[in-house]
Amino acid sequence: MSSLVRGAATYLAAPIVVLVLWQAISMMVASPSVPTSTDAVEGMVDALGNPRFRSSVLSTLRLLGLSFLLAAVIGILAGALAGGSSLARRVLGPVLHLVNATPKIVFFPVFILALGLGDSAKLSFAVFHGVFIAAIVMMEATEGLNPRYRKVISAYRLRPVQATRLIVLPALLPYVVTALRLCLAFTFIGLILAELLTGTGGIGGEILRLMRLAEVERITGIVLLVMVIAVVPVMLLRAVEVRIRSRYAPNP
Amino acid sequence: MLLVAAVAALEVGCRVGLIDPQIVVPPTQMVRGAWEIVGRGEGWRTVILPSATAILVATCFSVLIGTCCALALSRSRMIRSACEPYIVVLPAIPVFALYPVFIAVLGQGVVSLVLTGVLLGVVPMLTQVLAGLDSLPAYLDKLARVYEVRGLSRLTRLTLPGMAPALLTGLRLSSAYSAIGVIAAELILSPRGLGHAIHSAYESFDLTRMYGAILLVLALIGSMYVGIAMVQRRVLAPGHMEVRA
Repeated sequence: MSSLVRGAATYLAAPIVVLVLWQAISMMVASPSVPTSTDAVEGMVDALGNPRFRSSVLSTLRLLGLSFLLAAVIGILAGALAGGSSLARRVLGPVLHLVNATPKIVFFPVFILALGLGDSAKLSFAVFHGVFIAAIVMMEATEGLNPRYRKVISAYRLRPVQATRLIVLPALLPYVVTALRLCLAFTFIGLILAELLTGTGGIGGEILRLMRLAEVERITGIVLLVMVIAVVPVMLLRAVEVRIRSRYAPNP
Repeated sequence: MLLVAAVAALEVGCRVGLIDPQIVVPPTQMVRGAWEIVGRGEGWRTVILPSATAILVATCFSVLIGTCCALALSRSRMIRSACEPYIVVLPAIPVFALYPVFIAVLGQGVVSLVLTGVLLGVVPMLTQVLAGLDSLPAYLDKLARVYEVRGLSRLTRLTLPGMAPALLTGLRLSSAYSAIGVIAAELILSPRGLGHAIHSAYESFDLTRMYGAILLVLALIGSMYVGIAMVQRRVLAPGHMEVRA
């Protein structure tokens, strides 16, 4: 019990310190344009009470779910397939790394030109933003598979389906969770960026609308909500990742 | 090779009408658009210099803050263990969402742009310096005790040179991320800079200028990345860093 309390205290200490520091600084500045942390929390609660904002949040979550699913499936499958073939790795590897290193945000106008200002442009851009990191993680994981596994597969004369189910999938599982975590983070960033740039619906669109109305408390509250949406699932996936890694860690 | 083939295919596809010219223009036209921005004095003053300056300032602050935070975190095991779970998820935060808050509080100027760039650039620097500190060999500690090197002297003569690879990797990533932060913020709302040039050209359907500005962003970030990588290779080459008695 005491270790549970200590663990919870360790986890909560950093955000509490940040909120207290924020409150203290904003109270010292005492300017109406600098909201306190309590103002931001009130702004968030206030915004969530508004049906229009709730539908915007749902729209963002719906697009996030869909784009994450697409980016994760495409990225993980493409990366695993590319990592399994040396030719595909040599050809696709540098391209994936190059595209991943470029600031994808500059390509967003191309998505608008091709797909218009609607959800399809936001969805495609979010997938584009998240797919490469998942593919790279899986490509490198498949490439780095322990050569002993290949020997085991050939020694037991396993069929491809058996080899995938019994050897390859358990060996790749920790990397799949890493790929999912990074893919989720990058997809959400891409989606929020797309909403901020189009200004049509979603949480990003609401932030832009409130910015024009100069409602700082509400904007800060919504940004706080965005951070919660971004951080909580990623932290959960990180916890799963740590658990799986400790369970499937290869013996030295 | 694949890149050259892709560019050639794009040029041919655009010229023969396979690709809609309302969406993508031929690469030669993109280069012309970039040249039109670079060739004019006004282009330098209102497009390239504001972005380059904001990126440079954001990178400097990111490196400084990231290094100082990592050094401070490494001093206390308790603070580090409290912050570690959040450091891992920091890259997941869409920092750009804070830009409208910065505009509301600080106004639409270079400070808001730089702050967005710093928030994005500080994370890779922090994680790289922490990794560098963890990888420092144990004998450096003994060396410091034997030669009684303490405080700032220890930091500048042992710790920082000892983690030069991590520092340079951090600088490379930090500059790229700061640049992404600044350009993204300019795209959202800014009166000048490369991001603004892309946004305004897109709004007026001037695709030549839009793709020219995109090309300039890629060239700017690519040259920064390659430049720092070259310095990194040179500094970390065998025989370059020697322990001086």
